[in-house]
Amino acid sequence: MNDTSTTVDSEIGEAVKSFILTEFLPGENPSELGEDTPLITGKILDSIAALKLVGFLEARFGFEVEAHEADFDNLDSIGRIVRFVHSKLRPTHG
Amino acid sequence: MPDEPRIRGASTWPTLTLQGARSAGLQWDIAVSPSVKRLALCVELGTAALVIRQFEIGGTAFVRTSMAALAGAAVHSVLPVRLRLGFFITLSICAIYLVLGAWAGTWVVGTGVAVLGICHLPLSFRIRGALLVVACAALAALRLEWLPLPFEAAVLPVLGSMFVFRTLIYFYDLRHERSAWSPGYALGYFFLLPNVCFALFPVVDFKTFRRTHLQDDPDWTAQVGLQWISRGIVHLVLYRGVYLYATIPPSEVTSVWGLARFVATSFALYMRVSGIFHLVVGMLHLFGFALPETHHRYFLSAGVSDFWRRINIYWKDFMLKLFFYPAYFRLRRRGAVAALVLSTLYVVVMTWFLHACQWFWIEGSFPLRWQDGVFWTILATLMTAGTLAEFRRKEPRGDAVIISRPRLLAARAVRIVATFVGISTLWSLWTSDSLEEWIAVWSVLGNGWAGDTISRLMGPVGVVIGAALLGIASVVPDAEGRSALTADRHLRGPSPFWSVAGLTSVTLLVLALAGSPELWRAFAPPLEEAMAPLRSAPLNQVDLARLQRGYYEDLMNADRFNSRLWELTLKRSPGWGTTTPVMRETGDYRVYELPPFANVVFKGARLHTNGWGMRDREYTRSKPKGTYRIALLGASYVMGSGVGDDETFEGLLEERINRELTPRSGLHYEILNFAVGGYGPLQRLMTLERKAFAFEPDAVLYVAQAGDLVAEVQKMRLAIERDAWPPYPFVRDLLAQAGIRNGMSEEEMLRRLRPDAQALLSWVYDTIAKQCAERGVLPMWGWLPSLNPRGASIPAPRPPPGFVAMNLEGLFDGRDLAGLRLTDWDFHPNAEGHRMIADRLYAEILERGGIDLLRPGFRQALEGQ
Repeated sequence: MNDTSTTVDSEIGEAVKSFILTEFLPGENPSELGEDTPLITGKILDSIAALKLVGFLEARFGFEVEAHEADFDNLDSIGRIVRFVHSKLRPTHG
Repeated sequence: MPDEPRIRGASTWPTLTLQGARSAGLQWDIAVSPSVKRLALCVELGTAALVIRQFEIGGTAFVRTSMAALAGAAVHSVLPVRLRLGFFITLSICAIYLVLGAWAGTWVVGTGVAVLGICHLPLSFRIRGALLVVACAALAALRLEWLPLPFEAAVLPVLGSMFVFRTLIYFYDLRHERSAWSPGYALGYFFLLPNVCFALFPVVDFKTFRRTHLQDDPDWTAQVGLQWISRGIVHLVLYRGVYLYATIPPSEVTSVWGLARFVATSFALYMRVSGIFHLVVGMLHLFGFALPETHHRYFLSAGVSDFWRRINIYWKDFMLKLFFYPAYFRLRRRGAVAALVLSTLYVVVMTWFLHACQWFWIEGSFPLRWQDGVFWTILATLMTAGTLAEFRRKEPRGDAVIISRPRLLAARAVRIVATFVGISTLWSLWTSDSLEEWIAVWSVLGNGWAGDTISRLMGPVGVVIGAALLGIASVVPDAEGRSALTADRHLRGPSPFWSVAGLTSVTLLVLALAGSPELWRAFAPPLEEAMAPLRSAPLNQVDLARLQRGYYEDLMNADRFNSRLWELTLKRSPGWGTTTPVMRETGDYRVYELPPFANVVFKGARLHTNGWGMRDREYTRSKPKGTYRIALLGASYVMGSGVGDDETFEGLLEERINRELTPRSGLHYEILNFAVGGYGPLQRLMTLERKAFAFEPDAVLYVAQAGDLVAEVQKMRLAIERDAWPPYPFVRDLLAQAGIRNGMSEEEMLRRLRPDAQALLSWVYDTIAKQCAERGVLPMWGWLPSLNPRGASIPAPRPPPGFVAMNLEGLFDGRDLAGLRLTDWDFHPNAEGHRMIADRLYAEILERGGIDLLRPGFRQALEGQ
């Protein structure tokens, strides 16, 4: 991964982290929410929270999430979310 | 984040040190080698096996399977990683054969492989889906017995529980999954150990199943599994305590305290399901599947949405994945609120429907009941309101919400109590045998101050109160706490191995000691008797009452999942005990009778009737010369339910009397069996009047039993439904005074008639005695003890005046009752039981005079004394 993509990932990560802290972890120390903190298995993201997060990702980054993508693989940590956003933003090469 | 103590991968397992753990800010752990951990695991496995055996957890099949599984887990822990999945699949398939046998096992495995094959056919997704629907329809036709079953009846419930929901998940994942297919995981997923033992099984998600396999240190995963197994056993033992000692039959609810007990225990019985699910998922952990928990402190739910997330987490995830998200994502263009409302309603409706489907595969019928409708409608409404409220507000998530102020803590406690009361109320409705019965139970709130009409409104009032409590708990925002990421154990990583191992070992040890009868005998003999039922799990009073009433025939209530009775009845063959092909309607208060020339298999035995509709050999209507006739009146025991024509005590007694008394008296003896299964005292009286007297009997033997009032009420309800009231003014007046009317539940009738039961019985006996006197017939009365534990302990009543009494009380004392019953779930006497009854009756006849008793002039001689 080059510097540009690292910067983009970092921006995505910060945006996602900020959203999660504001919406689902009010009052929490930001440094406690790491890139690998489990969000679904840690019960921070329940079904309704996941929908809010999906709505945020779609509005912020301009892509559409499909139903089967709103799962553990893509949403269980900030790291996974960043990779998911990245994959959605990157055009598929066949 | 600090380093986690768990070690990923199986090849290198460095040891944590006390210092290292402390420096990482973790809980206490000690340096120890993997081999010591495995030794500890083996000791725990052995203790768990002992406890499962002691308490007969999950029934015989599960005890056997779990012994194999726990031994297998010990082997699994030392196998090379590459062999572990294969070992698990082999063990799972062996368990299927162990429980079902070779033929049925092959059908289950073969069908499973075929379903899996259809999923992977090189055809379009739609065509494969259509083929799965066709396969499902074929199996449904077998379940409905439209097609002849090529295998045992037990196969389809097992297939249903293994494949219905898992195929949906698997097929969904197959469509969206990007990773390569693994035949090993597919086979392991469908034939999951110990599914073959449980019709109710957690809906495991395929992706989670695959993802979590060997993701953590296998020793740690196994340790968590043992913790969950011990927790599951605790749930099941507590369930037995509630089931045996706290539940109360609806007919015995006569006070507000009784009502509270009835309502609370109906929900508490759910511990059976949560216990089984803990056991199952714990067992899967032993083989490296670090699956998430299935239930999470559901008695502490605060609001409906919270309850939904806690009570059956796998089901919630299944519904989210296959129904909620697809519906929401499709509908969200209409706005988030509309999409949420419609998706939530869709989920609730589908939950109802899929529960009914589940029941279809298990029982072969598709239950649609009013209680289900009311329960799910209320739940749907409240869940929708709760979901919307949650969507609109920001609040801390997760378990670790810090609520420090007393006022907020109190608010949280109120929410929890309100949710428990509300859910229990709705649960009691959902699990009741009938809506009328449930409404009747609530009418006790009107005792002493309200009339009949207002009392009947207490049920709906209860629903409204329950729903209101839930609604308040669901839509009012939670305490304004602060989320606490650092305090959440889920986010810190697992507890250290030895903390969990220590707690688990202590739990298992306590259970092992509690399950040891020798220990109780030695140190607390009075408690030994109380502990014994917790180990053997007999039926409770509610289920025994159901059994007595024949309710095992159509246990359609949701409580079936929590009932030991339901577990037992699953073993019975289809149509066991169904009276429809045996009986015909009479059009009067008797409701039905045996038709002439019947030739059917009833409860596994051939049942013939003669030309007069008696379960007996042929007799002429007019009494042959030199013959002494006894008309026998009674219910199913006397009719001989479940034994062959030549095995009934009536036939055996008749044969013996003729063999042993005829040479001395010169008389021929005939016992005419007028008994009909389910007949109560009034039906027996009507049979005497309308049929038996026409056969010129010299004596009438009326056989009484403990369940006679229950039988009477059952028939009464059916008769009144047909507008066929008893043809006796005295009885009609008595029923009117008791407030008996059409549409009333059996439980309510029973409760109202209990105070007048003795008056009713006395009147029946007086009438029989009077009519016998008018005809010069000798009335005899026999008391037959029950093989149902509920009735077995009831002492014989005083014999009615004017009858020759033959009291068989104590007949079965000292005998193993299980060896005298038809089956585990049907307490009618088997052939051996009938032989004992015949022998004892013969002895009673001899004691009361033998040939002197059974002679035409005995009655007159008796009256002359």
